[in-house]
Amino acid sequence: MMSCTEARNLMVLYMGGLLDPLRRVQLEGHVDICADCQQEYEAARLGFQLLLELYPPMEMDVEGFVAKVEGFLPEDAPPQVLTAPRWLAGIAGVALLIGAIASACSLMGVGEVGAAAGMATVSRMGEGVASSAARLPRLYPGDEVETGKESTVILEIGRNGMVRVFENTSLGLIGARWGLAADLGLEMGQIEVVLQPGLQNMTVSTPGGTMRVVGPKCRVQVIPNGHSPGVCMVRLEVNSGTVEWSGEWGLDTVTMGWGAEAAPGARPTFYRIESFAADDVTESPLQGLPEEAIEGVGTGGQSDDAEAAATEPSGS
Amino acid sequence: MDDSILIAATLDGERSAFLTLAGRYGALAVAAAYSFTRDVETAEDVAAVGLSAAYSRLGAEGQKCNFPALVVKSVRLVYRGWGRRKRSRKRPKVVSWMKSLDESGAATARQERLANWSRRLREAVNRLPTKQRLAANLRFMAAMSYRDIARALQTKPEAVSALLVDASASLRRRLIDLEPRERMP
Repeated sequence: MMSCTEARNLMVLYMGGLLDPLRRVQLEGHVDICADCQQEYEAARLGFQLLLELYPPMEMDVEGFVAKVEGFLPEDAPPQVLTAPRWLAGIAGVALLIGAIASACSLMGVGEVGAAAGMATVSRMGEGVASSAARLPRLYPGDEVETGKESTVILEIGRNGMVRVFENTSLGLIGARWGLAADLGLEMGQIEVVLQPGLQNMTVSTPGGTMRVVGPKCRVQVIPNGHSPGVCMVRLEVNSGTVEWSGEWGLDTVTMGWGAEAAPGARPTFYRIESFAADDVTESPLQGLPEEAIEGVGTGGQSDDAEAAATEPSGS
Repeated sequence: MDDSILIAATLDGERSAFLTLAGRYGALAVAAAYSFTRDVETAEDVAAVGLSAAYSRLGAEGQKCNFPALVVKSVRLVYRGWGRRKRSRKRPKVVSWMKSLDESGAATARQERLANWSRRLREAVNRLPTKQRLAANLRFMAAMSYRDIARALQTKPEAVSALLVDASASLRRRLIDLEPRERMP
């Protein structure tokens, strides 16, 4: 049995001839026995009847209208516009969003120049000019920082991170991620990295290999060999924390005793990594070294023992 | 011939294919334009310009576009620009196709009453909400089916039916219920 509410809802479809035969019969049956619905139906029918009778059909001169349209048409064919499918547009939208976020991240900058002393310059990619570090307080990927004699730059990474660029150093800024991580390229000279433990990390690429600094404090030095072009020595001092080394050239020599600025009571670990020509490459991944291993390693030559014993370096 | 074939031919540079489409959807365009302009003569001009606008947009819409919906959309856009230019002009009181009815029908008293009702109907239709007016004009002026109206308005046939029921109820109230002594001729 059809309810009055249902019948009135179906009346809309009935008036438009959109009701299927079964429902139509049911509706007609209900309207026959229900006075209220009959009244409702009559009102709707009268309204439609009124419209049909009083709405004069449009008398339109189709040919004349088409001629008028032709007069308005431009001479050329409709311009073809290449449109991507909707799903592709969706993907493009997501990609744009990601790109925007990524560019925003990179625009965040690698860091800010906290302090600069002496003849420190920054070369900005695309501008082709070197400016004083003080004039370019915010550094972006692609910038290069060069310090001269008796000049230093302190680069602030995020809230608590810091890179101290010592004298006669050439440092390239490769990338940055939200002030929590930075990629640096150390071509020559010495830097000291201080990071917020557990929050920040930094990748430092040197001619001898790449290291990922997780620990709070370390120092990296690249010393070019004046006699042999292309050969340099990389010195790594880990005051505390972890350094993951992924150099093409392995750890060659580990020595101790470099680190006058070590905190009182700390036992800094020093790695001297020498890079050689490509023919002499030996696979030697290093995850830091324990003190026992360091003490057992002599100077000069490849150190397989050191590689085998590679673990986290001793902390302060 | 299917719309998509004519659209493809239009995109290939055949103007005659588009003119076939214009003939096919001319009534739709004029009825839609009339819903906005409330004047048939202006509506024809707006519809013609709207169709030429639809022609220009065909390239962007592609071969499988919903052409009736594109026509309604283009007509609406043209009217907006048109309306700004013509805002200061006073709207004609009588629609041309109803005017002819008035003039020819003045001979007898019944025709005179009919003309009067037509005029009042037009005024009542013009007071309807835009969607209802558009649906009513497409249904009763252009004699389109519910499904075609639904396609042009990008909605469901049931929604069109509901719009028309609302429109007819509203018109009936205006034309009959408010003046119960004066019945339809």
